[in-house]
Amino acid sequence: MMGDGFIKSGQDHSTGSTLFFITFGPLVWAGQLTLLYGGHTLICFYGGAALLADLLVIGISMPLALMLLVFIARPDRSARALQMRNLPPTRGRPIGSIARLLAVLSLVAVLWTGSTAWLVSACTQGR
Amino acid sequence: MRQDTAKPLPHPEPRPETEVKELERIWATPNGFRIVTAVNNTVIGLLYIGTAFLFFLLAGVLALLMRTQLAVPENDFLSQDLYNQIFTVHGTTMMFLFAVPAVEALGVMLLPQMLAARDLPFPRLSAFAIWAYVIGGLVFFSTVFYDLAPKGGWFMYTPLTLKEFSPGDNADFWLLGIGFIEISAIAGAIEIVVGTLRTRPPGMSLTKMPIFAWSMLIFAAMIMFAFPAVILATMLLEIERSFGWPFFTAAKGGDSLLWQHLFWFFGHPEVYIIFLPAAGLVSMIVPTMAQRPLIGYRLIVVALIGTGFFSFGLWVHHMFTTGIPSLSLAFFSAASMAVAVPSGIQVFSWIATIAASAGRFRINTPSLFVLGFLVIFTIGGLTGVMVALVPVDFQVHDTYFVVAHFHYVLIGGMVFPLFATFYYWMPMATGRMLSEKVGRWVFWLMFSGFNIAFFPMHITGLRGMPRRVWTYPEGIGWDWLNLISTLGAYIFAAGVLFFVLDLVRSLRSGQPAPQNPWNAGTLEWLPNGTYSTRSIPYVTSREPLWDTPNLPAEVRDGQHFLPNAPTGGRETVVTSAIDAKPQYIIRMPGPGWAHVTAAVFTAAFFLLLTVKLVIPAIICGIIAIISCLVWVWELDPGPDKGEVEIGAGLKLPTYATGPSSHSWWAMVVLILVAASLYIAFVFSYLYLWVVSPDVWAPDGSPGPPSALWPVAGVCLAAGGVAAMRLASRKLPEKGEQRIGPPLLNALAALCLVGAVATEVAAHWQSGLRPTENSYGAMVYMQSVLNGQLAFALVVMSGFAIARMTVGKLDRVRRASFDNCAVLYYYAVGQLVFGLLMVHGFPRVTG
Repeated sequence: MMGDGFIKSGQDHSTGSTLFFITFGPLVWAGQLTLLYGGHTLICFYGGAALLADLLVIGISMPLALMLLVFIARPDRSARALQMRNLPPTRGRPIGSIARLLAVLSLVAVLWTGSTAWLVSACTQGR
Repeated sequence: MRQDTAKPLPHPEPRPETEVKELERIWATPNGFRIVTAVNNTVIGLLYIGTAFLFFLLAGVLALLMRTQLAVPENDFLSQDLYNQIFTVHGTTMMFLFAVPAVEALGVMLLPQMLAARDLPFPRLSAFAIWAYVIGGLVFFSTVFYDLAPKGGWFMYTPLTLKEFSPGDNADFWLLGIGFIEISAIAGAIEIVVGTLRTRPPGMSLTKMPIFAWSMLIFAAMIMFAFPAVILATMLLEIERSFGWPFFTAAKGGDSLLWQHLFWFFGHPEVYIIFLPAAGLVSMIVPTMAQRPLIGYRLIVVALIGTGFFSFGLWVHHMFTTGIPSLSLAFFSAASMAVAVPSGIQVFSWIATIAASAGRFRINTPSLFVLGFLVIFTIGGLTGVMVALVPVDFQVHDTYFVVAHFHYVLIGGMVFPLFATFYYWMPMATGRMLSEKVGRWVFWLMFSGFNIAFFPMHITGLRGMPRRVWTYPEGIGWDWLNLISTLGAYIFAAGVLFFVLDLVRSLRSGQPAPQNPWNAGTLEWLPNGTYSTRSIPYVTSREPLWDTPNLPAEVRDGQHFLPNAPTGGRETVVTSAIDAKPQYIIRMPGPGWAHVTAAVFTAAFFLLLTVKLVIPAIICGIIAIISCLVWVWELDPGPDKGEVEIGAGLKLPTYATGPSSHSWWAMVVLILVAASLYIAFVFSYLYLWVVSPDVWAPDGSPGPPSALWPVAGVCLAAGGVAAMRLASRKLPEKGEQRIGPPLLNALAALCLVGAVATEVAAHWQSGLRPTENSYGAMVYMQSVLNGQLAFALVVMSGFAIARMTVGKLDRVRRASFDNCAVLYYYAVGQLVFGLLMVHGFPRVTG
């Protein structure tokens, strides 16, 4: 295979790692949704105290929010730590900024939805 | 815009015109009745969008009938029963037969042109999906003419749709018909995912991809994860209706709300599944009309991905009034408001692009529809934030306020962009223009008619008028509002009628369109024929036609990649998913009958099953499977063509297997769909346990079978994996015949069947029956899902064995085997997980 002047030589970048890098923020948010909704349901099911449900929300949301903050601040280092190998260049490139912006958006979503724990009591019927 | 004249070309010298003749011959559309065998995206794409538009018109007529009924109080124009059928078929048709297929059709039609690919990678799969949809859709819709249409609303809530409350076959037509059409949608989604990621032109990296391609990629991914939930729901409900397995019957431990969870886990993303491609279309039209690049390309990609994800976290907001804990209400209310952020990003990007055009933004019919979309969709978005507030939702739930809201979102967010699309891309699809003068009439009639029809419904709803009522008493403040809504609906319909008349006129004697009438910057406006573009351009920017004004001439003269047909058949370049580096040449099938008969008999299988003609249904199912096997028999051509040069000295192989091949990608996508369906099942299992722990299992139920049973199942599955791996290693060389690999493949398939049978036998001998309670139903449902995979693998293994036997499958030419193997490994993983859950969970919680 040649194609000099058109096709840059070198190994192809990893599809899985790149998609994981781009969608890291929303995946963290999806994890929060699953853990919170599932965990909260279980606590209420077993008749757990409302405080326990609140603690669950905080205990899940805060570490995830922190993880997102670290990713936003140091995406390349985070990618290495998360074993995302063979990524295309990200610093100052569209893929890097898309991943960061998605992480920012996800951070807002994690904090916003997580903050509901402060506002309402858990396990009581809504109506 | 810049002109890059120094760029070298893959083929600097002029190419012979005979190459064009050969391309025309290879890609020729079949004539006469054989046109039904066509697979080219330019032909079937038109059929697809045409059928979707037909369903829009038909469902629109139903809407007019409803509005006529509601125009005055105490009207008896329609009977109550017929009204129920009409609103169910209207909603179902608009959502399942118009909206999703229409955007999928646009993907099939526009993506290859936008990506300068000769076609999407699985043309027969597209054609199969389209014919299945056409046949299934028409039969489903026709039920309204002979009193067989479903009556349970487009969401078919249980318990209303259980056999006890909805006897007859009406609900079954919905369940089997829609389930079948969802399979068609998933087939289309597989095509779009693989096509978007693997058939981009060289140089078009992920971040140079047109926004429409991004939106279609996310659309298809959302279908992969959303549709399985409703497929499972329809399976559960149909099984309960037909065989009495009580998934939704509260008296036996089931729960009606399980249906709502599964339906809305699909149903809410469905709104964005419809909206995101429409937003992608708008993101293509706005820069062209503004004659400048889109402002905030990266932000729009962020918004598309963000919306795609967040839309999966909102489903419970459709269930705020069902009685759920406060924290859930707050959580999903917040998430519902949060999703407005990415949607808002897109709106601001479009407005910024229009504003930055410094007065160059052209006001014509496509841009009028885009502006109309912005106004209507924004209003719908604002009322969406209102109904995301739990107290507001409690007040307006199931009233006409919600009807107004979702019509603002769906008609504003999808129908207006679709009409913009018709006017904008008509010259590319048909070579003719629609009338600008008539177009403006169409727009203003539709825009004013829409607002006259739907804005008053906000007030009607706030005044308490519930949805789905067939008539209402006079004098309670709803009369004149309903009359105005009905007038608006007819004005809207007049706009659509004008469009249809203009469309017919244009197709018969429309003004020929110039090559690029809007001076757009993207590749679909390159000169193209049935073979798409003469050569596949090397792409260096997001608006290649603006940045390289000579590109159309270069492409037409064959100076870019693949200006000919080096393998002598249909082919296109497969590139890497991230950087779009050329990897190999995919050889694609041409017209054929097998996929058509497969679609016809698959449709017949489902429809005959609906009316309980089981034996004819099974015969049709067998014919459909045989047709599929005939269809795929010629899809693994092997490496006999060697390497071919496509330009710039670049030589590519004409065959690939394993993780780099497009067929392997399709199988992985299919596995993700299967996994989504299984996760929905796991959710259902745990959900029923949560809501009915006292009947999990109920007193008097047999205890779980001995642990030896699942251990035996795991051993069989492990043995199957070992056999499959050994078969993979022992595949014969080309021309060699070996008895071992076919036997090992057969052994693996038998092991899997044996594992599923062992699981069924374990519970049967313990005395557990699926009809006794929801626990039993769920236990056996796990084997139904595993049995489906085992059946598919038996067929696939038989296919691979047949190919080995006739020398069409060997160590190199092995795509059929690899696909079978990767699905097999997934099936075993699912089976083992299921055994752990079904046998372990009752022991842990019991």
